[in-house]
Amino acid sequence: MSSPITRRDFLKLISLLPLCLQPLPKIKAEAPSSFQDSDKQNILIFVFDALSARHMPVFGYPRNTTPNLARFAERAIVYHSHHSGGNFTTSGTASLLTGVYPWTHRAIHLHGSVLESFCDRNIFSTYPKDGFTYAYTHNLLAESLLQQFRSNIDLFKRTRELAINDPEYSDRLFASDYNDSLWSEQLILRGGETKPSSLFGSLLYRFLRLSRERKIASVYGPQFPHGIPNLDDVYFILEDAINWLITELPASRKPSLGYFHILPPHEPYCPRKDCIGKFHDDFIPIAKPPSPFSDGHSDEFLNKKRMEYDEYLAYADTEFGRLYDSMVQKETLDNAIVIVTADHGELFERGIAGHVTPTLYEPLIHIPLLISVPGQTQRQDVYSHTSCVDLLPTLANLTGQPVPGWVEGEVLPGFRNEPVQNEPSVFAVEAKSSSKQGALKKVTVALIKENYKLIFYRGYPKTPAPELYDLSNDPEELQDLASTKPSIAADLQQEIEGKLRLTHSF
Amino acid sequence: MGIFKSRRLSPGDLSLSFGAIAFPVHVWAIINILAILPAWLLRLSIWELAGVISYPLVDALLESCILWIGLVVLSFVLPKKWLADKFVALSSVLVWLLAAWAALVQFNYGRILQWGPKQMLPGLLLVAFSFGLVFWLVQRYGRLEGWIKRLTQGFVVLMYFYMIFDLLGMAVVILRNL
Repeated sequence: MSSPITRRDFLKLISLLPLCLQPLPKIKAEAPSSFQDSDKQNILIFVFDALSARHMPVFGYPRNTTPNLARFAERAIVYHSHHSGGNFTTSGTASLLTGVYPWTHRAIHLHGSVLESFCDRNIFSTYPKDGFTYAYTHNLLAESLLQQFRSNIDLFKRTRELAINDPEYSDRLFASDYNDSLWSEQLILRGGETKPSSLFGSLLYRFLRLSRERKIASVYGPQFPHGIPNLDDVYFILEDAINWLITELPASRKPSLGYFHILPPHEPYCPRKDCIGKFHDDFIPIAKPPSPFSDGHSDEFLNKKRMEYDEYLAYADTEFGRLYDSMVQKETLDNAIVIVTADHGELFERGIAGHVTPTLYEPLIHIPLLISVPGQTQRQDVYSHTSCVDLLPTLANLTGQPVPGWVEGEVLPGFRNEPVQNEPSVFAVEAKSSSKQGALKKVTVALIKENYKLIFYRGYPKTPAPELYDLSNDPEELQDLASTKPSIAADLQQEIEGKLRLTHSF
Repeated sequence: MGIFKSRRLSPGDLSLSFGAIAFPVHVWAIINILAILPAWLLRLSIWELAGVISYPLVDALLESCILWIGLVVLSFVLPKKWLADKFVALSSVLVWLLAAWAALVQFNYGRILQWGPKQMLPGLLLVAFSFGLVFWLVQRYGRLEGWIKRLTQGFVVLMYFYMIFDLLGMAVVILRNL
């Protein structure tokens, strides 16, 4: 009896299997030329990596770290209680771009990626199909996400194009398998969590890197005495990205959506020479009790790191100022919605420095949101709690698109057609140690609702009790009210657990 | 062409030396893949996991091949009695020694990076001396050569094992990039 499928047929079918599992990237065709002359508005989104609103004078910080952003704020809507969806680049950026929280998009790990279902559900895919979309980031973690959304991005400028040095090979050699080959590249050449898996090749790579770094330092070292701005072996100076923006913005097509994700003030803090020493002042931040997840850093160390961060932030702000002046001069602000925000914040208190932590205190998740609409000449302040997941529905609303049913955010106050009955709850999620596909067993969730914020921990070896703060009277989160207001804490905890159940996370 | 005839390495010797060279390269790669595996299990689907494991395996295969080819070429370039006469023993032991030094550098990379010429020079001299000593010992003592050859025979079994996974890895890499 002859088999209906021959061995050859079977082998052919097997070779096609990966195609079913991994759709090939589709590059969207260029925007039709008819839109180049359209009078429709452009949208420009500027994301500063790791910019905490708690370090900006616009939001009450005593150091004048961001005078240029303050200038911009004078003609923008200023959201005073805006929050990121997570406490590091991948989760925060993915929430901003998809309009859903990390428990839904599941980009919860370093270099993580969103679920396949979100590759076509993002800020670029919801932009009108006849519009033009473009994106750039310094941060390879954000680039991994943009790679996933590439089929909806017309012009995807690679990180290396505006970097001094980018030793990445994956995107050149294995473009159709970028994210996974990048992870492998990290393991083979750089290691990180482990030693590099290449015994000899990685040493050769390190030797070449060292020699490149020395060359870069010899050119840029005098300008950047604390080191050349870098992350993941990518070296850059912000001036290059800003120069590109200054040149490109007036030429960008209409209508267009631009996403620019710049690295400063993300660590390592490498301020330009003129920003060093700007904050050698008497400012002493409020001392706070150590977190259950404290790394044991002293206040003296934390204040030193805070000062370095502030100096690096001042460098980022100076460069933004140059861009802002150019936008004013070229009247870009008159026909563009300009959004300035961040993917997450940074923490220098409670024994923790940076943002790689399971905690979700305000400096980590309270981020700026400034939106300037065309023709706006006066500042408008909004004090409602808002989230980065609100940006996508707001932009959909602004561009006349229906707000997709899958988003978890709401249209931002200031842009709503109808008032909402109840102010929505705002969440932030940290789940680096949980599975992407399964239940979020080890997770921290912050819920901000009305005056209160609950930080809820689950699954840690010594799981701390939930912390409850009254943000209206205690914005510094000094007094934990969980024991004195147990019913409020219980209600908020119930809401968090309900959300986690809804997202199939238990 | 005479040189190729007089120094022709037998297939047996070639496979013995390849097995010995592939051993440290693969052991190092596998240890580090296993170390990161728990973290990867959290974030990746089975197909993604197959991909991210395949790349380092293919890299280990490539690295082994490059070293092996390099040594085979050296056996033709150098005087016959330096390498070609005792190819299996010398190539194996020199690569093991190189691997040991490389592993030491990997574990102390941060510290070595701080070294100035004062520390670097004695370090390099020590490495050179160790190679010279091993080379001399193998050349001088025939029994040592025999002992190393017997050891490499054990590695050939492991080589087949690596090769299966390396080739599977290569197939996965190709499929993922079609």
